[in-house]
Amino acid sequence: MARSDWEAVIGLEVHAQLLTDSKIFCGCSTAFGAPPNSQTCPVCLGLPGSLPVLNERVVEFGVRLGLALNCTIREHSVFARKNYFYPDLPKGYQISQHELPLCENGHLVIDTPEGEKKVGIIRAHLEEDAGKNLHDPEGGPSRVDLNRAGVPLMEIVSAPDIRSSDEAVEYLKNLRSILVYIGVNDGNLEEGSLRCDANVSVRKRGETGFRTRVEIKNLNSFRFLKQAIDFEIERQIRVWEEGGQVVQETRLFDAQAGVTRSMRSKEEAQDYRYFPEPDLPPLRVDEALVARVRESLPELPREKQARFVREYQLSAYDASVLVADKAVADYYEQAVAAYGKNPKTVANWVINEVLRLIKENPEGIRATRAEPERLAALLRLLDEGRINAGSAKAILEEVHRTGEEPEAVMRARGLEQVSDVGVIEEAVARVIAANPAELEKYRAGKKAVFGFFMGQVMRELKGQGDPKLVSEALRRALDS
Amino acid sequence: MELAREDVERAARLAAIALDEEEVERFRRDLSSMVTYFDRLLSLDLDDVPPMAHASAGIAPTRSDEVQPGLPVEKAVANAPQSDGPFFVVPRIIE
Repeated sequence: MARSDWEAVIGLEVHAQLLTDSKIFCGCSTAFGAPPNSQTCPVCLGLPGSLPVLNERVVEFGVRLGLALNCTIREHSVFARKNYFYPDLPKGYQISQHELPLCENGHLVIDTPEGEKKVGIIRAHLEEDAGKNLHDPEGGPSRVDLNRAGVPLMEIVSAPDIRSSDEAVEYLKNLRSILVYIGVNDGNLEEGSLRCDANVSVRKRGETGFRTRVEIKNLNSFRFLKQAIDFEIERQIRVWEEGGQVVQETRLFDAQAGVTRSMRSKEEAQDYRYFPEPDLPPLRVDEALVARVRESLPELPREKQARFVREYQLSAYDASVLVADKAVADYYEQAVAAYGKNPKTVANWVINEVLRLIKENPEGIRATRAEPERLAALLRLLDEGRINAGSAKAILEEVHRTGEEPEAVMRARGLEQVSDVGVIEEAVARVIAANPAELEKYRAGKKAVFGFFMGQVMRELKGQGDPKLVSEALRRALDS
Repeated sequence: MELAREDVERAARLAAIALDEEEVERFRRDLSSMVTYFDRLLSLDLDDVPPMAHASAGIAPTRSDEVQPGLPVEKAVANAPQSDGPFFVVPRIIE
């Protein structure tokens, strides 16, 4: 049976650390990278007699994310205990939300080759993070650091609406962008403040039910997410086609080998025995809070994209590149304001040149010293015919590194374009005098030699002749 | 509803507690009477009654997002059965 007879059914579960100063149920710091077990207290250590008290900022962030994902915000939501034993979970249960989560029934829009697509958000709920286990590769006992235990998380569960690894990547990129825009998460997949698990199954086209799904853990980059899903889809199709059964299990992506591997399945099926957390009464979110948060929501990436298309006449693609990172979008708008015209030209320079210069830099657009005003100044030099496009790129590179004014770089490197017609005509005369044979050919009708003369004159002018003026002067001289 | 010994053994396994023969039988009887009580609740028609998630009628109090000092590391690990410097130490948990 052909590969095209199958389709993938994918849902993503994303855990996002909320950017609060203190933990969800106690006042311990959430700062990353502190010495082991230096940010703990009786509450997050699970010591007897301690009681959780909810951080109000966590609630506000939860509502903010719910609204940004078009969810219904539940007036009464309930915290529940999810019971299991693991050394990184000091209480023997995780405080989470189960039957009555804070946010439900939302959606997120992604772009696909077939156009816009709505991916459902089943729920988004609040919970606490676990600690961290450290294993010595040489063997021996495991060590536990509980600094992360109790850090607030939002778990965002998509509907099984995703049909390919590309759509999954698009979904995660869009979600990450929203999280960063609304200021609730730093979007850092590598450091684990944003974590993604994928539920993957396949079915024959036309089937309406779902076949057995597999959960893949540990997908800490867009590339791994794509690789892991692609591998898993092929693996499952092969299993079904060979007459086998896909087993419901959790698999880990091995980035080095590019494969997913089964985690040892537990003898007993998971039974978390959820029940309402007796230490926390229900959470009430009143309409006033929802209204206040709605009021404070910034422009979201897709709204911004639509505005860029409308206001600056950009293509949908260019707009999407600019809005993916809020800092880039802000940079672009500042540059447009500073330049005062032709937003399309500014977009081209930002996308093709500025973004190229900062490509590998983890600090992104903040890393460039070519501030929006400097980019605008550079474009003005170009408009005035004082530099050509090639010099402009070279100048931008230096401005990016040093933060110098473009005009100063132009002068210091002698890149000012030669627009003096007298100087250009002298150069033309010198070149023609030095190449009598080519002149002969040109006059005999071999017009292609014009390109040769053009190149020679530009060389004479060290590449800085205004191409339009050079071409005109040359034509005058050759055709006279 | 009468519970079977297997039900009690499964619950004990999930709770990670060890029960001897006599305790299994005692808990089987005690838990059976509790479950029987829930059976009576289940027989009521409660369609129009909103679920009650908590015995207190109150609403969760909240605190502002301010960092408070926690425990010094030595105190944090002081009661651990085993520790190594700033770390809690547990039996190896992965292969």
